Amino acid sequence: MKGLVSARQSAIIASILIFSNKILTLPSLLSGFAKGDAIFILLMMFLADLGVLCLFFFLKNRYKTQCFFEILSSHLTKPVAIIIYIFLFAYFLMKLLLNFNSTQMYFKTQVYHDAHIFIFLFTTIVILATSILGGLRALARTIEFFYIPLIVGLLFCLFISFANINDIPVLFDTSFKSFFTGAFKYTFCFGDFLILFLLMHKIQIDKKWENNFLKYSIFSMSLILVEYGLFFSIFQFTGFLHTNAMSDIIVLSYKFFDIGRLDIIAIITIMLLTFCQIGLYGYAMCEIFNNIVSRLSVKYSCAFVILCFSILYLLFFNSLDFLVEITTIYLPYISILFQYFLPILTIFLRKKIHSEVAYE
Amino acid sequence: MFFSAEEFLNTTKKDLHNSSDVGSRTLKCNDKTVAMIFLKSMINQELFSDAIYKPVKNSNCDVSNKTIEKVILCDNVEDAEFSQAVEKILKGYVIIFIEGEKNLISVDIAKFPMRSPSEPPTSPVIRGPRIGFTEDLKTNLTLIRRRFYSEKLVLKDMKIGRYSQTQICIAYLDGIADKKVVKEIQHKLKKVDIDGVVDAFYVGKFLENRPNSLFKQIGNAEKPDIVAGKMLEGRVAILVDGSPIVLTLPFILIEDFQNSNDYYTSNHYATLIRYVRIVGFLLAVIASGIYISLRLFHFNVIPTKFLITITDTTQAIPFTPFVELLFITLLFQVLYEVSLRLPSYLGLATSIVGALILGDTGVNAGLISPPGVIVIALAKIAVYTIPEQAPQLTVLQIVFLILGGSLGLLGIVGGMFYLINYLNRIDSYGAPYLAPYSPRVNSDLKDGFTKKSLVDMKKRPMSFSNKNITRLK
Repeated sequence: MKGLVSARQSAIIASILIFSNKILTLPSLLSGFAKGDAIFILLMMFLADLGVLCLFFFLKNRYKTQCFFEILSSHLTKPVAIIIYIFLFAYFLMKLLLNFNSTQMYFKTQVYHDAHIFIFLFTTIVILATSILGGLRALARTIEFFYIPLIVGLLFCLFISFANINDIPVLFDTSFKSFFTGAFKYTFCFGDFLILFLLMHKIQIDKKWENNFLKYSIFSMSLILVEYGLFFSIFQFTGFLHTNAMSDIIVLSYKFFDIGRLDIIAIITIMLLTFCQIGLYGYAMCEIFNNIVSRLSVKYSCAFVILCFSILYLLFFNSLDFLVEITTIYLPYISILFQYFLPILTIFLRKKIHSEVAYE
Repeated sequence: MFFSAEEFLNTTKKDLHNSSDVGSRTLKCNDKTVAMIFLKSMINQELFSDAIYKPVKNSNCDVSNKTIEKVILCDNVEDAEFSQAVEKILKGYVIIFIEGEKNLISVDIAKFPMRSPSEPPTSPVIRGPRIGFTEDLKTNLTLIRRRFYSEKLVLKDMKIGRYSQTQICIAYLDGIADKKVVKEIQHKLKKVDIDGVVDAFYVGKFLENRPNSLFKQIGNAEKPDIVAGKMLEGRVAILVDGSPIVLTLPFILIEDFQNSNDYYTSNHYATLIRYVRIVGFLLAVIASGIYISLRLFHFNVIPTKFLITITDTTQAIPFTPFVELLFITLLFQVLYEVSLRLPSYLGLATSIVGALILGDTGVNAGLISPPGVIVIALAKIAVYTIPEQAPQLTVLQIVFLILGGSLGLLGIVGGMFYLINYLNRIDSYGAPYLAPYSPRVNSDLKDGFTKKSLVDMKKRPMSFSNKNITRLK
């Protein structure tokens, strides 16, 4: 059917989103609470996310062609489904804003010292428009195309940072309270499989499709764990000072083989990774908006998403510190509700329904 | 039906608007008048005289269509309706009218200026077949037929062009090519109502799903071995009379990274060369953009020694780096256009003026910098690692130069993302444009950027639909 994406492409989408908001700022933020034990926070959250993935398998196997909105509407009535989707729109908008904000700060400190914010904003808007208007199939294929270069870039960064290791990370040095406070405050940075529920009707499953998801997701999670391991091995107790983890871990290898600044590899990799994630968040928001306001042209949905993002960023969320504060104070509750309780709710959704969704 | 030869000749000449190259002969044979009409510019006049005119004139038998057909010393003699007379004359036939007969006789002795098959300048090979297509459809069909002594080769004729009446031939292998694709091509071509078709590219534009796109969506080849190879993979070939280019469909981008040389040489060497082409492709598209973005936005990334060299050579340049690179790009493009159109004996003069006077003197005068010239020259030369994509690469080069100059690396990476997303939206008769890489088709990777041996390629490409997947048993 037109507009569908393969299980492999969907697995790659999930795998790319796992890196979102985790490889740059999060290691330093978590290190403030849990130091080297942040690795265990990560491990714990990843296990919870894998649980969510299993719930997605369960739901997808039950409702092979139905859309998540339809499932919610038929079980919980349409107004409730719309309310949930409005919150989901806000949730993904915040994810997009956090992702954009942290990466543009990173680029500003690394290579765009005097650049105007509109350089970043313009590029992001073009990427959002391209991803939304091009449709999920083109976006999934694009991410599939860039997947290997992205992984090679990340592996390269991790590989050369091995040269900078001073000692093994200090573990079991945090109290339970700090550990769980850190985990709770940054819950928002996890739960990346939620997007799969929104796109479930566009995923074409085949035999052993679950294996693809598990394989790609566990690989991405392993890479992040390795990055955290390296980060805490290199910076030990000063980790909280290094806000651009992926770039900072190779900072001592600048003159590796006398090639020049090698962090350019990290910069390009993160640029590409961010564009893929921004495109996916934008598409997810458009999908949500189309369900809330049905029969609306995709152009208008795209314009609405871009408008929401631009206005909110320019008026309220143009400071990373402010955004992080919001993320840690208000968003953990909403995150837990949507990232974990909503998927758990799907276990109880068993009514048979007929699809009314038209594919792209 | 006409009663007299004179009436027939007058009517036919009138239908042909009394064109200056219309020729006619009238003979009296055994009390019957025989009229012959033809286009002097389209027939072999010597053959006409020796094989038609003289034998008919000297015949003593009863004059009728049957007897005259036996007298004529040509192979292609057949009966024709009166309604077909003008069409056949226009194709280079001689039409013979015998008073009292219900039908005409047509004799094909067409002769046009035609070059013999030779190696096309765009597809030379070190080893492998050198023969190329010509402008004659019949010759081209023969060249394809010679590759397939099988009844499975199907040729379907059609005509396009209200005035040109150009003959088009759709060729495919029955049992391999997808009939749906063939039908879709036929359907699209039948809908074409154009005044004339001058070349195969005229037809190609009507077969593209996105005719306004920068990217080519139809394959083209000038050699029968390439077309035969593509037909064996399940593609459909479209031959156009008057064009040495044969179009092939469906088309995917990877085809332009493949070269006929790759199939006549070692796999390892072919793989290496394909990777060189990828590097060439990337250099052509983004080298100038990356250089300008590093100079303008991210100079702290450039190694110190290199940065000092660049600064030394560029500090006296009166233009901004962006204007300087744009100027060198335009200069190169102007020189390229001039060298294409100037007679060959002036080519040397152009090289001297371009390379020595404009380039060297420009650098010495401090108008352009040596690194700028090197980067643009490298990017321009790299365009021709994939000559089939040269127009597209040239446009992309300028787009990425502007992106790099205005947004830096963010513009380059964003541009690449946009480009790949756009290419992923292009679909050529069910074949994704960037297959077998996105979407990934594992079995087709054997003939992707990496080339495996023919022995390993047991299946036909699965990036587009085929009726028969097995290639090697």
